[in-house]
Amino acid sequence: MTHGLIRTAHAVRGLAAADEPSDLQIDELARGLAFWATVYSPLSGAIEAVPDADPTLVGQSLSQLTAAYAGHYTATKPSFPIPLIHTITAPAALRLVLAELPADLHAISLSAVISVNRQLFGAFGGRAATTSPPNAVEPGIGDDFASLAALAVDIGDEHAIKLCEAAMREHAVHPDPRYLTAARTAMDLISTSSISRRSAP
Amino acid sequence: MTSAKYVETITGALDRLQGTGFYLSGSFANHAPMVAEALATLGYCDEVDSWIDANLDRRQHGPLPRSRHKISVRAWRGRWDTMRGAATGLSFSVTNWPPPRGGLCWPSGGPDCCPESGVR
Repeated sequence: MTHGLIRTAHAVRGLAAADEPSDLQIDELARGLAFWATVYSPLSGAIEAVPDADPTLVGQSLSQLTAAYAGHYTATKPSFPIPLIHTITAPAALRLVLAELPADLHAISLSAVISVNRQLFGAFGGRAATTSPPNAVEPGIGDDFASLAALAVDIGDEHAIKLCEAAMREHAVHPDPRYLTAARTAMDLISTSSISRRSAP
Repeated sequence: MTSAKYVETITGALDRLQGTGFYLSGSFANHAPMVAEALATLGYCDEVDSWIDANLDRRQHGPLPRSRHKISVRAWRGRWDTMRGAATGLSFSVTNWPPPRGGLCWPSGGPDCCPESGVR
């Protein structure tokens, strides 16, 4: 579920950050792309083109998308916390890959991820946020992200760590309180469900 | 912009995860390479090894798919360039390192701050 893109994106970021990428990093990009190829399946409906998708505005649209789905995540508080996390982490991963792709692929990629998000949201019982998001970004929110990252590392759950990192990064691109709230909500839901798993017979 | 420790950390993690496949037993994706990179990005390079210990211990990793058709380096480079031009459009390849710079710095945080100034 969107993991082909996400695994590839982590590999791409690692490569782009390295002056001299290691063979293992190049191999990981190949594995990411290979994994993506094995799991690729077309969307059930046509990809809806984003009207007036100006390539230069794709970054802003991605921010609107991740912030909106972060708000929806908090509104939903899904009893299975993991699947809907991908409506935030997948578009956040797309941002990493778009940094390496030519501009003419940006708008169509945005359209595709919007359609993917819509389908995931429907399939996993997403409920749309009905309240408008708070406008103000609290001062000191960076510290809150830092403590949340420490908590995610402590929980150790794959999606807790990945969501925290993606939410923090999206917040850095375009500050919005919905990122922190969604990451906190997911962390609560994941730690509750992992405690109940551990205590199960 | 690069932290040597970040690259060293993810390379070390990928080395340890070399034998793991795309999936855990069942159909869940193997998240370990993604998480190792995310931890390093968050500034938790020193925690990556112990996280992988726990992951390898707790998760039932499936094998990598068997290789059926070897691709020669020459053919691979040819295909890569074709892919690059046509399908994926990736702006870097194994033949033209390093990739272009400038678009990946975050307003704050990022791989370059690991581990001194990530989130902690």
